Amino acid sequence: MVAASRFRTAQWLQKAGFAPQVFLFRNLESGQVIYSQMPVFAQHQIDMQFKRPDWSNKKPSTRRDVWRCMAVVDLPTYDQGVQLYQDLCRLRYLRDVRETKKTDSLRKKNEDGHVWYSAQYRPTYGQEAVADLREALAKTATIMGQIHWEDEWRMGDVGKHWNPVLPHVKHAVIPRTGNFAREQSAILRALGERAKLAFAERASADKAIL
Amino acid sequence: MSGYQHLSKAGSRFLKQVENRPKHLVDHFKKFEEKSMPSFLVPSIPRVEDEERFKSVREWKYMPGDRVVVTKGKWKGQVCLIHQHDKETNGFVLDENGPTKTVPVPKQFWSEGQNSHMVTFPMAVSQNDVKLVADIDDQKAPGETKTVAVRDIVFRGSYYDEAYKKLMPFRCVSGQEDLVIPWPQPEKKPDGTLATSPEVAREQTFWVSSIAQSPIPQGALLTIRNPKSKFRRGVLTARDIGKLVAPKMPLTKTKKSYIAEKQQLAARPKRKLSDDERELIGSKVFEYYSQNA
Amino acid sequence: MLSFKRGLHSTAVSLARTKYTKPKPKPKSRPHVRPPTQHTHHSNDLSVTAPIPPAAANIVTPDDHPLWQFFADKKYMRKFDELDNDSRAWSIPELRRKSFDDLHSLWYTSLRERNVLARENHLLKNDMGSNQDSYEAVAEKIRTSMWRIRHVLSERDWAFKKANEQFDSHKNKFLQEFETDFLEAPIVEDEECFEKLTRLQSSVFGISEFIDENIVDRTFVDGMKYVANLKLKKFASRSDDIRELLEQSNHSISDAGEAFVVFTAENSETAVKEASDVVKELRSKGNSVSRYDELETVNDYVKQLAAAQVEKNVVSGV
Repeated sequence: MVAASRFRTAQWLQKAGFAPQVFLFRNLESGQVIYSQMPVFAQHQIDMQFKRPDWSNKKPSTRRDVWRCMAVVDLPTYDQGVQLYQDLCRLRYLRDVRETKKTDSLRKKNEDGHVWYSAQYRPTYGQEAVADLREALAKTATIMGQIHWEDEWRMGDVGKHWNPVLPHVKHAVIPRTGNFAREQSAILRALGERAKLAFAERASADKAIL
Repeated sequence: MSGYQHLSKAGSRFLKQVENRPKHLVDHFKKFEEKSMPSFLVPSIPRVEDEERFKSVREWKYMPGDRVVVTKGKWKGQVCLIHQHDKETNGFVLDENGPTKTVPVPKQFWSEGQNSHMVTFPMAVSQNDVKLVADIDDQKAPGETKTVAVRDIVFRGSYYDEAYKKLMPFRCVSGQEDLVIPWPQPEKKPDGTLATSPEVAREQTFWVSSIAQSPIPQGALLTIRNPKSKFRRGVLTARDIGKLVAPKMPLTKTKKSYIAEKQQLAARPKRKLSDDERELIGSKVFEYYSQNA
Repeated sequence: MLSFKRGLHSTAVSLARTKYTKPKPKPKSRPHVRPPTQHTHHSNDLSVTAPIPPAAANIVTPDDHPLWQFFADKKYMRKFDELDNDSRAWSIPELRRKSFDDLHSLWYTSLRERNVLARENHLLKNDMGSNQDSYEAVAEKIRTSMWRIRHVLSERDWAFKKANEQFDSHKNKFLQEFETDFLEAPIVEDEECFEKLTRLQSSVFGISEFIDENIVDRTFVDGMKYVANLKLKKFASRSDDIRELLEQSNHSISDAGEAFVVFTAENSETAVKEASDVVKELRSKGNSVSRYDELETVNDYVKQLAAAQVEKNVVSGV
């Protein structure tokens, strides 16, 4: 069984050697976004996160070449990581199922009244994912945390959108030298190792205080 | 229009065909063009084809800054300054003394500060309708000049003009070629960004120093010319010959039958004289001579 | 008694309370129950918010970004009056005066400018749908310069090849004339003569004064032999040793190793004499270079000499 093919608890993640992180992947063709607890994803995430597929929000495929890592969120504990993932999935559910009208009213439209698109690509999905990440982080009651963005452009205006709501969340940019598409797994693994190390340090520091 | 036509020549032959209007319809199309175009866009003299456009100074004859007199139409006799060349019509746009027209202009084409629909435009004048005006020495009153209109000008020789920064012909009066009318001085412009200063351009940096070393690196040669070029090869391929040699003219029916007849005649067996026949001829000749002798 | 309540045919039976019905037994007590592994739950106060658009202002483009080469003054598009419409293309006579390096750099400058113009022209035609040819007109002038550069270089190459063909027939005569002039010159003009010889070796044989710049080929070796012989003959009248060597070798050296020794010697009587001594020593030892591996051997010699010179320079520099 693939690790990503079902929901994983905090304990499982720690035992399996994953870091307390949440991963966002974006689709290059359609602009849709997948949340995942680990640096990979499977059909499971797609099935869970696209509950109401339609012509403008088709269920994407798992083709690895059309997915890129959009952001990696480092969290202080595994529990918070899991909860952030749950919150993100819940928000996606709210957008797709419960509050479709509100979601739709916030989207940019073209002259036909449809969600703005160019060919297959709808930029609104990526932008909504950023907004959801902010909302979820704010509700996860986490003070610390770091977001590694794929580039500065994606995160939006930090001073306007992020600092007023989440002043303590740090923003970093994943180094993009070389062939990012090819090196992605290695870069994500390195980020995971670093996050695990930080988690271990924090745990030992907590123990020392106690 | 796809917006990619500057990158690709696909379909250009077809477009050329479309642009090639039949000659007998040219005037017809022109009439419709003039009818459908707003009056402020219609030129006062007909547009010329791209090939007929003036390119050199010798064709233009008069440059901006020259004084000319209008010799035809309502403005006949007016002396004006040439403002600019109208490249579309090979005409001259003159200053405010020259011919103008007042036409209505729709609001979307209004310029800043305009408050009326009627705008006065200068009309272009063709080269045939103007004559050059020049000041020449007055022979009757030495030391003074008189202003004359020059019937025609001819070009003799050339010199380097600093102001135009190129070779300019001397402009002489036709029929009195020692009278040279100088070109007007154009307003000075700084050199463009792509220009090279004359000192740098003239500086010689190439010297032949050795017959053993090539003046260009061996690796660069392939980028300079194609060493296997068919134009340099000196050998014609069968394909080339096929293109160069005209096909044989087919023969007419009469000619064919004539040739066949000739061949038939030629194919007939030749008669050979037998010994008896020779004897007979010999005896006849002998008989003839012996009778006459 | 009949019941009139409606239900499934089994409902009445299962719901019927009879005296045989027993309450279900209580489940057994489980002392070692595993606590749930999943504690968290999604928050209940989540709300849908407006999408956060990406910010181009976050991206800072460095001044040395390579794509800036496709922009003039970092402008999206230049206006028509900002273009250089007045300049003309380089003419062929002007280009003929320029060295290969100058032409090479001019070519790339032109190419860069044409890239900028092509970009702007594409935006004008494709994005704005205009049919103005202002950018193309300037680019066309630059293109003219570029084909002229190629023309001039090609012309130069043909000239070189033709000259080589013609010179082949005059070469021997020319060298002989030079030799007689060179040998007949008085001692006072020695310096001048050797300068002439240096010029000759570079112009006819392509041998550079600086040993490390040379590429060893047939012409190089021939030239080396010619120069070595000339040197020997020049000093033969002044030194018996050298004359002896010349007479021994039939008035010309043909061995590449020997020629190299004399060729690299200084242009003075003592130096040439020393060189001739070395040659004699070589001959006594029976060292000679075969005609078939002359090029390789001389190449090795040249490399060694260049390395030695570099070393010497380093030592003297220190």
